[in-house]
Amino acid sequence: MTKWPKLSAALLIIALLITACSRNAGEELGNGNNGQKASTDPVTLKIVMPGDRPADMDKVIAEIENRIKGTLNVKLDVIFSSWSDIHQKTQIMLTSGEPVDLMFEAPWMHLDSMASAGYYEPLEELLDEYGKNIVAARPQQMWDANKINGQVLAIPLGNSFYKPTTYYIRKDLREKLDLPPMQSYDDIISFARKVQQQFPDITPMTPQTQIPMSEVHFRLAQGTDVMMTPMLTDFILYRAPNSPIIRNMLDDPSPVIWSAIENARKLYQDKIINPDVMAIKDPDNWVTTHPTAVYLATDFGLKADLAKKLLSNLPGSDLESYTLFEPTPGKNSSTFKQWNFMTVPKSSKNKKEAIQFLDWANASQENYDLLAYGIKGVNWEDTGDRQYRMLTPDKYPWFPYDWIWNPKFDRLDASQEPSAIELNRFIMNADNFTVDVLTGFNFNTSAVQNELSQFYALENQYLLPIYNGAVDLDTYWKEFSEKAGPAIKKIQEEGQKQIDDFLNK
Amino acid sequence: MLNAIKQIGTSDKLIITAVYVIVTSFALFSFIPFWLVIVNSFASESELGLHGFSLLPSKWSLDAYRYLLTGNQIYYSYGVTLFVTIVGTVLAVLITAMFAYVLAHPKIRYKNQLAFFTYFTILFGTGLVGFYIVISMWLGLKDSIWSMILPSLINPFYTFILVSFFRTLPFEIYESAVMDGAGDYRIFFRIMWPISVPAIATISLFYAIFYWNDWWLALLFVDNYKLQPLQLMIRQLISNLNILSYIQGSPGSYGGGLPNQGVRLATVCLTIGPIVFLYPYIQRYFVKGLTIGSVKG
Amino acid sequence: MVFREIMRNRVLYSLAVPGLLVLIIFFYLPMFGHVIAFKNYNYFDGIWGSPWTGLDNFKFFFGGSDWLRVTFNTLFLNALFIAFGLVISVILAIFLNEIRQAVFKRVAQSMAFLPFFVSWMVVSMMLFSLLNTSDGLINRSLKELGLDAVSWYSMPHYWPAILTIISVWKTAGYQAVIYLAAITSISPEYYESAQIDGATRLQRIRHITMPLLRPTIIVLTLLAIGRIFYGDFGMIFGLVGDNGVLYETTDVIDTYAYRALRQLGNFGMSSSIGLYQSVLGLVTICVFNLIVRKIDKESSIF
Repeated sequence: MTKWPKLSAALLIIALLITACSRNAGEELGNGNNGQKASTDPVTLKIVMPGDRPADMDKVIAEIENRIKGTLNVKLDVIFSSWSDIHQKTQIMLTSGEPVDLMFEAPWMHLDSMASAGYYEPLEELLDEYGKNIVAARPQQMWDANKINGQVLAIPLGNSFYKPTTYYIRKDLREKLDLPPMQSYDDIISFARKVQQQFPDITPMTPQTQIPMSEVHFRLAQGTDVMMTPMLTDFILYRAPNSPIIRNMLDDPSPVIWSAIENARKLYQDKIINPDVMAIKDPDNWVTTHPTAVYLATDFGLKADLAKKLLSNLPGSDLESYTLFEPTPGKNSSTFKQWNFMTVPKSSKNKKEAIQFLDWANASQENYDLLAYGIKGVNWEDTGDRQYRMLTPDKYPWFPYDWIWNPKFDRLDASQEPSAIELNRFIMNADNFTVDVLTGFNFNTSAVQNELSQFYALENQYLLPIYNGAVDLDTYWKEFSEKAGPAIKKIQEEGQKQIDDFLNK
Repeated sequence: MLNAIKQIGTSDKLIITAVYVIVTSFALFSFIPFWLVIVNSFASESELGLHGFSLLPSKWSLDAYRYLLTGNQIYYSYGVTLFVTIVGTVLAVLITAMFAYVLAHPKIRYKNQLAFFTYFTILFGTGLVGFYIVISMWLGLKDSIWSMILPSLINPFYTFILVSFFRTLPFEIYESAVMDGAGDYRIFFRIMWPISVPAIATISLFYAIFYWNDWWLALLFVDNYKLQPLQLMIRQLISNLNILSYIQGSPGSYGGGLPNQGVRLATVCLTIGPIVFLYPYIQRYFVKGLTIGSVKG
Repeated sequence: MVFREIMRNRVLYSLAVPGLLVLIIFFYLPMFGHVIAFKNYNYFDGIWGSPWTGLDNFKFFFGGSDWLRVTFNTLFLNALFIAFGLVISVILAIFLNEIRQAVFKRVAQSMAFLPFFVSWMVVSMMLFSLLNTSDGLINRSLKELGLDAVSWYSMPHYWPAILTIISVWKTAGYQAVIYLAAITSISPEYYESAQIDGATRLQRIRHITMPLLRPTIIVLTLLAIGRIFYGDFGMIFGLVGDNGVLYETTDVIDTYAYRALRQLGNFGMSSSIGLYQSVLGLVTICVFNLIVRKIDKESSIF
């Protein structure tokens, strides 16, 4: 029989491969932990952030290491994890105490709970000593507003103080209907209704299933009558503008919110809202391939590539943007809360170097540009007036929000409409906004974890369909009140207590 | 008597026709959607969006593949996946077969205890935290290619499938082989293994597919992008297409011009690659097994 | 006594050693992590040092209003998948075995296997183009027949059926491989002697193939039952996603826990869910295994 020689040969090959491979892997990673042994050895900073590794990442890292050579003795080990997995990956890294030097965090990940549980290094002293430029690149309002339990536990990454919202309107249809450009929400709805009559093949309006993009949510977020609370990203708990009193829709309903909910139901029943609104997973793609008259986006202005794609897919079509936002200084208030953060986990062995590296990156326009846009002339070009144009979006896409974003050095995309650039400039300036009374407050979730988890589980099931009008309002609202009522009440009470404590200090 | 044979003939004919009809329709039911995926991955994005899936698109485009195949990552990833699949499958099949053989052997008195010991792992998952700490901290397998191979060397499901096959082995041969002075290893590899080829082929196929498709272990334990397997790489590319739902704030070119749907379809083509040829290859052993199987009895 | 038994068959037992090692290191060793289901775990105190919290981590789930419903959905959907998957893959395997035309058999077998490789994300895309209200294939056909369009994505009661069809489509070909392999190891002599006795094909299937397949069917079903309380997260999340309208019939324990916990980052709470599923599975499988032992001792798994 020939089995034995074959088998032993196979085993031998495996054994060889094992030794070869483990050696390779070991060598590549060998410089990870022994950074502090001798001062001449460079420290390798392990940086974890979301996204897909850009093709030119290695070139940019080489350039960074080249530029910092004289001042800082660090190497970068940048680890990308996909947007859908970063959440779990960072959580397991933190809870198992793996040494990571810089880690991306966000309120929509687990910033509050992990920070409250003590996984992140308090940064005041480190920033004082090694991070002067990090501090200087962000306005004071931003620092004050993004403390967690009174401490700086995360470096805010952001360039604005307001979440922009825009309606995309099919310009070609509007012109065919002989309508003037949009002036108000009512204009948009009457446009959608006319589209429905005249062009039955076109979906009048496509909101989304995610939380800030549902019909009700999107509409209310643009108004100035009611505001969300820091407890939930939902209008089920609400407050009057600049008020510290938390109200509960279930026992103290706001007429503004209720009418928006009823309006959504009506729009859905009249088939203005896409009947499959709850099932569309990729609305961005939807708008360019399925004829839709009105579409929502969290941006100012049109994205050039989106419009281009629409044009090539639906010949003769055209988009325009309309926002309800009014750029009058002082008219809008802001809590200056940011959406993305960089943290230094307690488990890091190179905290000083981590902050020093970020400090270097935040120190000058050139350094910022390198991290944010890649190599000048290769990946992007300077179009003047603090704007940029991407040359190779496939090789080094735009991702400053991952690690560096700040309003001091950020450039604006030159391919936007001029009006959008103006609006974006406006929201980058902290002084254009009234300071909200709850600025600097953050909700400590530890006392209401059970209630929050119960609410989150019910939110998708009831509130999102309600907010898009997709279900019968009476039965769903009643069922939701019964199931989630007690949890929401408890969150409200705990939130109010914490706010009162915060204001009394 | 003649009449009876005739009857058998007609009923058999009826059955065989039914068999062909049903098998053909199930094959088409399986294949048509698959065909739609493959052929539409070559369709242009606008065609796909406006007219949906078509049996034969009228406008063709390679954009999706161009997007997926830029850069070197795909080559690293293919290499890693191939290595993990080949080494993992060979080791896993060997270890699982030996283990299952013991579980099925009539001479082993603690079969049941061993079986429960194995089955228990199906019921009780390892728990993420413990699993992570053991592999990355205690065993130090973080960023090692072995972290993608070792934890899956025994799959309790496949083990039991193999056990149920081994239970039908002709263990009478065992006694006579022992009389002839053959050792247990010799009996297993020389006698039992060859007559179990259909079962072992099945398990090899399953392990190969399992290793090929796995991204979970890599997600947990592999940070070094050069060691990223294909499935994890694809996962990252795809989730990047949805990036808009995560970022709030300033505009920028997030890549909205990408062939969104096409890329997703094209990933099926790319990831299915070599593994799809494994199945027809394995099929040979089913026929072969039939002839060897007649030895027993 | 144990020692003597092992020593007597030490060579035989040694065959199992590598497998046992893998089980112990990669399956049993990490199980200590389950203890955090009863703890308020944080890294700094370590797994043993973190404070005990009793059953607090279970409260979010059992304190909610939906734990019974999601448990039922998990059980119900999995039972559908197991039952239909079993019947169809066994039929497929038997029929494929009846086919003598080698090329046809091979091609059909390969085709049935292919859907296994299509990711849930792509399945979800195709499903949407099939079912969507405005221009989905089914609704277009309905309209052509003069019927009203059905808005599938807001009708939860259709979804157990839809999910079952998809599950069968995706896995029947894969499962059939196991049964085919089992059938091929049936000795052809049985069939030959049956043929001499003048048995029809149907009789041969009923009296030879089916009984000899029974142990394999039982083992595979017992294996599946052990995980009947674990929902297929990839499938449900991929196909239903954020569409809350469908949760009434499609929300399973795993998707519920995912939604509830994703923003809290509390491993203690998620471990408690895993423990709940494991204990339910343990009870179920012991009962089923006992029944199988009573009826057919050879086929039980332990």
